[in-house]
Amino acid sequence: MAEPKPYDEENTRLAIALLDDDERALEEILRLYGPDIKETLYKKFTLHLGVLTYEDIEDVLIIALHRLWDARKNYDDKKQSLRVWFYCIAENAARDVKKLGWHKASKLERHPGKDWLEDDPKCAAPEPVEVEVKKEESKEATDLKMVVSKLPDVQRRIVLADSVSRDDVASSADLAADLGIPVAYVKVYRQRAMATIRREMRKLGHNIP
Amino acid sequence: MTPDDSDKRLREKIERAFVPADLCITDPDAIEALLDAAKAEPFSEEKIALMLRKFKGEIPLGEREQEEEDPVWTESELTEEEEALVALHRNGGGELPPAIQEKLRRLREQAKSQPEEGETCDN
Repeated sequence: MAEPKPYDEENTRLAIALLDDDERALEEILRLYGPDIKETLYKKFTLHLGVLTYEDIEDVLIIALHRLWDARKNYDDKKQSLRVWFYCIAENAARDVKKLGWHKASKLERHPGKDWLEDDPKCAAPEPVEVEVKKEESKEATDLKMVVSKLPDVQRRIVLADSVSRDDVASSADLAADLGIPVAYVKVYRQRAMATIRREMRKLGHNIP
Repeated sequence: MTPDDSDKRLREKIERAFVPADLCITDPDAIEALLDAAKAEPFSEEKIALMLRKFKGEIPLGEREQEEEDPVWTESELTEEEEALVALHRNGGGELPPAIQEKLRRLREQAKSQPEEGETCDN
């Protein structure tokens, strides 16, 4: 039998503290797990997608901490560690911030059991594929990145924000405020960008949905 | 497939095109390894205090202080160097006023006495 790691003991202690409604556990969770989660989300949402700032990620952690507290009775240590659970909640919170804006995303925390509480983050891992199919997909991804990167700045920012908003587009009102343009323009630019992406990708020989 | 479905699929493809595969994972063990690899610095005490204040609702989320905008550029606030450059540009190769010629001469002298880019000052 594998030796229990100090990490497992820490996980059990914090999980018990949460079940005992001990709020002090939250500060410890933030101290222990916050920095690595923040760094990882920063890589994804800031460095690669450019849709959230470093400070935004910090606020996402706060929303996630609220959600974790609200859902603490649902935590199952057989499925994942508290750290992974916190990461999944934070990842979903980041997507909600883009989809709904800060105000609505932070209000969701008071409604446990809603769709933000997913076991897995929404960034679906690709299924294993044949080498040839993988090559084609890789070429498609490279071309798609190039096409999106060539879009005018405002259109690109809208498309990237949309790409991380769970099941829907990003909040047009929030995007309009960020970009300093009227809401109606966001909708027009969004349509224009999607049409351009499809047209350019077809020109490059890709069968885009 | 509805237009909404196809838009959704395209958006998913866009995300996957921009985010490396190792950041798009769902397996708990893989997430554990990803977080282990982050090796981030611990939060400072000030940062923790600030985050806890946000948690308690004492500071609103998502609000950022407006960055100070650069002052409006006006010709009345030009440095000597900028003034000479503006005159050169406007003049388009023609004869420059004596005052500007003198400023340019002084700037050239200054430039000669300064090291070239990449040069060290201690030789």
